[in-house]
Amino acid sequence: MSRDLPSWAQSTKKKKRPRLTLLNDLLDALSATLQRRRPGGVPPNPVPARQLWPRAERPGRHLTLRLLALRFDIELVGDDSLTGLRRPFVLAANEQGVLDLQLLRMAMPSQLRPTNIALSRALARGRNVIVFTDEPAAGRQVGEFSDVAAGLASQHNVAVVPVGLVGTFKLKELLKLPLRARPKVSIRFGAPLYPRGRGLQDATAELQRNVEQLVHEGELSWWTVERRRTGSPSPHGAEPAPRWRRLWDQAAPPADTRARIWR
Amino acid sequence: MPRPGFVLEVDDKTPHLLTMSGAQLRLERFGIGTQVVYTADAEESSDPVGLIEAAVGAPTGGAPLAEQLSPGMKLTLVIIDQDAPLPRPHFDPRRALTERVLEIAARRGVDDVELVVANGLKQRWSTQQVSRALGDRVATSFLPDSLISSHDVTSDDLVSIGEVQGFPVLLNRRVAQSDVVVVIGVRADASEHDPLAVGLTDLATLDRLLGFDPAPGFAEGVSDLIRGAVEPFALFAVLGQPLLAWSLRFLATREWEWKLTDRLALAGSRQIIAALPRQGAQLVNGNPRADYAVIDVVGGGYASSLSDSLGVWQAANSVEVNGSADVLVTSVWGPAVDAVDSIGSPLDVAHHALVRRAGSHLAKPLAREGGALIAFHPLRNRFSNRRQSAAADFFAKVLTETTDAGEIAARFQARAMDDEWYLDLYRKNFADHPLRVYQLWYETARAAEQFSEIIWVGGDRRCAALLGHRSATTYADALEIASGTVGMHPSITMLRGPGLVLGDVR
Repeated sequence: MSRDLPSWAQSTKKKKRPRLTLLNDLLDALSATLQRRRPGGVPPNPVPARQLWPRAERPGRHLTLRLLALRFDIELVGDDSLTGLRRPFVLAANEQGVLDLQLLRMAMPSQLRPTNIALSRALARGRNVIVFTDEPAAGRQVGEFSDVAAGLASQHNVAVVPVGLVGTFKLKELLKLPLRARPKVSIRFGAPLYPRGRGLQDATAELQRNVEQLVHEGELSWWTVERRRTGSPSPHGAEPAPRWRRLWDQAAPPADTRARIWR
Repeated sequence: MPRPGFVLEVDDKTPHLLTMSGAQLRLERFGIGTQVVYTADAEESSDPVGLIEAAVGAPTGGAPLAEQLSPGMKLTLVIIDQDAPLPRPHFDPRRALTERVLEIAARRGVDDVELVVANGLKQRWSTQQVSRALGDRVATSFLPDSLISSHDVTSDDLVSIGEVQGFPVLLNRRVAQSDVVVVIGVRADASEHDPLAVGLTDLATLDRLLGFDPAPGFAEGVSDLIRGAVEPFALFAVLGQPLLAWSLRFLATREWEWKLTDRLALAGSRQIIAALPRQGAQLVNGNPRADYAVIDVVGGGYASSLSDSLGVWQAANSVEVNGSADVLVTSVWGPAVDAVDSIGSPLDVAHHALVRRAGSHLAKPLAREGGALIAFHPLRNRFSNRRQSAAADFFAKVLTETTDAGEIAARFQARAMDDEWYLDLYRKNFADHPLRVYQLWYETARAAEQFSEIIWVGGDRRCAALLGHRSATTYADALEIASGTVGMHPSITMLRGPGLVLGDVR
């Protein structure tokens, strides 16, 4: 070291010890609250603005989802799409079975749970709502959306989040069977759409395509889905199939990825 | 619209004011007549999709982005990393901007899309950083195919786009060869650096741009050259002040507006830090996230967007201050300096206090020439072995020899730039490039020339001496030390809060 530091420029070697500051701070807090001091010439306190609902957070592994995971092999795909979304919003999902709504509600944290009753009023009060497709036609997995979802979103200037539900078909009946494996359920969230300023038919058609893509191509990445959507309006795998094939595919065992030394 | 910032003149009714020193929070009494500069109110953010749509659909000085895209073209999204604010944003606006641009690109049938992070000399992004900043959708779509890359200033794969003052300027290959480049960034300070020049060029150019003695006109020449070569479309989100989580929300609230819950939160935070001197600081301040209101999204030509975003940020965050003070006082809060550590390294802390906080002003400085700077920070000798290896060696081996920037540039810089260990850490282990430490010091040293005394309240005496500064036990002691140069009755201006304010000194 060639610089000549002053002799008092020594590092502090003393180890900091735990201290009790809480009592003094609480006394200070109490006296400051009782005896409010306000300097002169400061701007007035802010007028409380109309309370906006905070932006949505990613659902994460909350309690009800953990409970749900005891009975179902449940996966949430693309739930990061909800991050930062302004609440409330409209969820638009494909109807598969009678447990769809209950499953979706339990899979989401309490502040994001949607309702399907009095939709417009619920949106006005800041609650998320859900709109399902009609019953799918024979041989198809995804039914048709009415223009309710896009209409509500346009009217209230909120986003529509497409949701693809996979694995909930005949789930109530499946749960009655003496199965050793937990039924697989996949809930897939897509990129939010903003129908405000667009035609209802156009927005509904895009919503329909998005939900079909989510149901059929949930394993592919968002960017691939986005590109395919522009290339081919009819999604791959949407061709009619017998009902047993849906259950067969749904019940397919997961691929065994464990390393084996013999086969 | 948030309440704008203002200057409080301390009187006998003013309560004790909050100061932050690394991770420590305390209430300090300030003398009557001290000018305390408060930032504009921090507000919760809203989904910026409407602003983005407007910026993309009706940009200033050019065609809408969708009309510039067509199938078969090569599109590159440049993510600016230089001006990302700290504490890091809870909802990073770059993510929303990137997603909207990609949706438009998909709709227009553009297949050849890549993302390049313009990190310059800063650490290259890990996959976790990509997911954190740009979200899972972008990460899962582009990372598996290696379509997101961080710029490497030492790469052999850079292409020459011309010469400035006789020196060749190299640019990122993918960016230089793209048909359309979309620049995505945030504006959270009044920095006038060109983020493309600082983020995407080669090492030699960066050394000339931000080195010890930058040549006049060189930065403008590089900026013009880049704009001539790629003509980017730019989108900048202009941010407001940081709004912290409930447990730390009192940091951004004015003291006389504190409610009992704020006071209890302060008391609780202080007790946790005092009871657990090592872990408590990390528990309370470790990597907090703040919500930043998106004031506006500016889109269009690169040069106009850069200046427009600066104008919007200035309009939202400037505060009129009455005259340059004799003594400038500032808190230095650890999470506003380092994204990971709750206290921060002494080099980063000195740069933050002198350049980012004291240097955030319009034409006239916050403190007069020859004034004093008093900063609150413990100045611990803390460096991360992996991320800050070059900085630790700079502090231990270079500053013990000299603090003179010219001598450092001549004797030590070249050796550090060629050091294989530092370069390996930069390329493979997400550390900053060693040149960055030197450039930060040059900036710090230039800013320090304005002050006759720089005094750290509660700072480690050896660290302060190594930086060429002084240390004081209390704020009153610091004023007494400063009185030798600024007199017994100096005018004092204090910068309050974790956010940055732009001083409009009249």
